[in-house]
Amino acid sequence: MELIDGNWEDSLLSEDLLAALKFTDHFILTPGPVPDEIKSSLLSTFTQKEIAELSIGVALFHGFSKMLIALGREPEEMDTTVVPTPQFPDSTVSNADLSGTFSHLFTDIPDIGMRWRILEDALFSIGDVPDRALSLVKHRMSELLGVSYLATEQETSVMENSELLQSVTESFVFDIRSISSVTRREISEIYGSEGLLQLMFAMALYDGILRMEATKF
Amino acid sequence: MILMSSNYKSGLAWPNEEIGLQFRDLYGAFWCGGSLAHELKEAVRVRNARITDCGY
Repeated sequence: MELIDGNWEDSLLSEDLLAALKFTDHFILTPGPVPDEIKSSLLSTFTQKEIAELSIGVALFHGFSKMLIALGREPEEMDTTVVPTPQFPDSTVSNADLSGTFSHLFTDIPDIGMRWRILEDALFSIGDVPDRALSLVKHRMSELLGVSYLATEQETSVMENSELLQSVTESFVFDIRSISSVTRREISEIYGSEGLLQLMFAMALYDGILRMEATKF
Repeated sequence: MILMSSNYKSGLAWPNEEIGLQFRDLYGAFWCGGSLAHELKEAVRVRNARITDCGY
């Protein structure tokens, strides 16, 4: 366990593990263009498909860890922690639509990309938080992570609670511990407790995908 | 990490069943499919938990 604590210079880890962990650090701590040294380590060890898998993996781990912190649901705060063993899904998604803003990130891993897209659609269909609010979050997050994409008018227009949504988005990206019980209460009063979950889930999903975009090479 | 358990007592449950199912589908496809070694996925998961200071 101590081998992955970050003291890379003296590390005895294998080349592939070191490359993956350095990429993980970059993805989380300094999301942006990947430095040449990390890029060449990755390319000498992994295929493009494996790099895409690594990237979506860190995106899921990081985004949803922060979602749980933002919701105040870390293990020590819960009576029981149930962590089911992941299973390969039974269902196939061969007919799902992979088009959309982020489709190019999944060129090498279409099976995962289609599932990501289905999850995003399901998230928008809940309806506790207005689509405009979710779009605003996505847009603000893309600005914070230095990712430019063609924003729709809906994503940039001023709306009720814009200030709060933008402030929480900034906290989610850069200072997750600053999302407190007071913040959670404020959001719940506007969107309800399920709306709070929907909003944080959206933030986890977009934080991950936009970091993938920011670090893609 | 996480997961959208159907058990509300876990504190991890998601009230919208569809979202829970779709999340498990995506996470399961990443975790159980693909060509990256499980050891590597687990190392990356733990590294994220260390940096993020997340109890998972």
